[in-house]
Amino acid sequence: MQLKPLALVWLPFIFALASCLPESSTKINTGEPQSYFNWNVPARLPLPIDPENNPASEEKFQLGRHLFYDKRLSGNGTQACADCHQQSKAFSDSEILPKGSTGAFLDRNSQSLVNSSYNASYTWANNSLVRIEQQILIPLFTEEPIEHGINDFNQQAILEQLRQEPKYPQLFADAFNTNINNIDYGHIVDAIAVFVRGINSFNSPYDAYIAGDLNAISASAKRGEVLFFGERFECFHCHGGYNFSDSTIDRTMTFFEKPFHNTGLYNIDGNGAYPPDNTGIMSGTNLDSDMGKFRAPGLRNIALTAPYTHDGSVSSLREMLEIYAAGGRVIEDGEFAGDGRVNPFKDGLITGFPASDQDMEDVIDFLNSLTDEQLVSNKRFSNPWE
Amino acid sequence: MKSFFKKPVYILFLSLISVLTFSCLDSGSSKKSNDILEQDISIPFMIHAGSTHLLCGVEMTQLGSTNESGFVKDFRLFVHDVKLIDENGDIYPLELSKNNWQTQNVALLSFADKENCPDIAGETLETNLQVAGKFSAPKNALIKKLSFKVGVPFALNHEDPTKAESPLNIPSMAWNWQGGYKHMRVEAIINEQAFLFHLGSIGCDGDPLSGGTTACAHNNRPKILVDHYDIDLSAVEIDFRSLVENINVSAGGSCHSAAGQAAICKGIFDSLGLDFYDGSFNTLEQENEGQSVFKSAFKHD
Repeated sequence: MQLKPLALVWLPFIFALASCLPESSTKINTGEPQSYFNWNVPARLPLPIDPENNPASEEKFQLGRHLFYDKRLSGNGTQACADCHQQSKAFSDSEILPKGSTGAFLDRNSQSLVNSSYNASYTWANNSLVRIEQQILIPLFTEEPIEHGINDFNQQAILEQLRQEPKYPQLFADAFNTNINNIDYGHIVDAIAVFVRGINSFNSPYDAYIAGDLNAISASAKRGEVLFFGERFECFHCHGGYNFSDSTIDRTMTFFEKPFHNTGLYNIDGNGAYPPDNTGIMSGTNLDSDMGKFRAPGLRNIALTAPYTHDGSVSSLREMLEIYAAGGRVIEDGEFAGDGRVNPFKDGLITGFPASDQDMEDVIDFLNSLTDEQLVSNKRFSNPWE
Repeated sequence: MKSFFKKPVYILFLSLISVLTFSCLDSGSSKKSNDILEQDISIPFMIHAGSTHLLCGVEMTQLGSTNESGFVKDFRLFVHDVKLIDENGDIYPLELSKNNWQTQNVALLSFADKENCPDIAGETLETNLQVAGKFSAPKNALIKKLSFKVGVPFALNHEDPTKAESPLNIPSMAWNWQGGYKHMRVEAIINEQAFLFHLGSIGCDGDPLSGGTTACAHNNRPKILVDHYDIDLSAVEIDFRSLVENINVSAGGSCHSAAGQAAICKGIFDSLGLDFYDGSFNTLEQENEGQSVFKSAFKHD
């Protein structure tokens, strides 16, 4: 194209126009299979998204690890992240419902943090939380119920406590190039987020099996694998992919899904109601049809994270499978009595299936083969204060 | 491309460019007309229960459908998009000054004062009873109305509160479960039981690729129009009695703007001119000016 002289006169104005448009700061993190940060992810798998506004570094990871295990990061100095997210339990706990620092029970079960860097959304049921940084604000600052119990009045005193710790000046300086006197909760949240984002592990017997070690899992687990990925049990629809959850995202993806499912655990009023404090994403969307919809958790290390479901109301994998085999849960009596099998908002794939005792044992053996012993003993994720 | 440079289209394009170019230059600083006056003002706010000017510790009466009594523990709200409106309906935006209570044209008002009632309020923040800023209007413009929105505007609502400036960095005003802020936070003891009202945007939707919030199903930012407002004489009165007039607060009550709390929420939303969720998916900013909680009153000296 040849510009006419008159058009050239206007060029500076066109540039002037372009310069007063708002700058775009949205850049989608795609590609980049390599990273200097140790994600502890095997080469065969894509890496998690590394947010531009808080890119991972080893220094942030190490600072975050110290903070994650530090009880001083709570209103009364009694609770650390690690209390409800214990390495030996794949960073969950064994409680039905965990307690906050002042003894208040939470409404939902502690989730495993392993590979949560791949979550499309965070917590059990929330459309709005898409970064670990957003989720961390909840345990630190929430008032109902109190978890860590950091608030308007104690937040400065807590920072002062951290400043007194001899290890922190160097750790903060390395991570954020900041003087210890200038640290704030932005640094703390970012560092913990990088630590959590770095807790990845894909070293279960099943990983070895699919990598070619045919003896890595038992014959029963192999039969269970077939059932798990088959059209009778239908488990893989919600628990598929390398992280065994359909709510998974990584840096190679252009499109995303952020699904939530009602699995027929309750039906209190015959119209699909779940217990009032646990209505799933409906509590945020206010849409009736969202009643009882929760994020499908990944199943890696599931043998270490009992009890199960959002409210910890299922004690074992066998009990969980029985519920799915029945197409939902029937609660005979009590305030939550109802036939979850006919919950009108139940996911269409929870229809029940016939299963022998052996089938159930096989699927449980398969799920047990997802336990990653390297994860629970990996010093990289352990308490640095010990 | 060839047809583009055909004369009429070309000239149209060039004039468009020139209009856009000049219109995005900063017009505020250079305009100096004798007719335009820039004024610094502060708009006083106060909380009342009927005719009673509330301070912490002052008893409120006739609350709710059963005429309960009580005390305020906490009463804070963000306001933004503050505008003055003259007798002709011309609108003059107020540019808020920057201080610990105001940033990026958002102000936090805070009414519960610990000096007067430490036993009831427990630990509370300092009070802030005014919105301060400047506006430019013709010298002879007669301001008659005030409008503003309650809450933090969407563009700021979903930023990281740990990296925000005061007052957007106050933990108890964060609404972390929706990645936002509490637009309004009211807590009280009514009939010796806890009453709590937290207003915020809900049904917010995050984009896991970009990390941002794309929209909220229910923005819940009441748009308030205050009639009979005089910039020298008036204050804005926020009436607790009107806030709860449609509900029964004999057992206290709790509303987090969420589903399942209609018994408390719906009546309060009505008072604020907000539609409480009734089954429809609503992404519109509320434009309803039918609120009964905010009104003009004489300011106290």
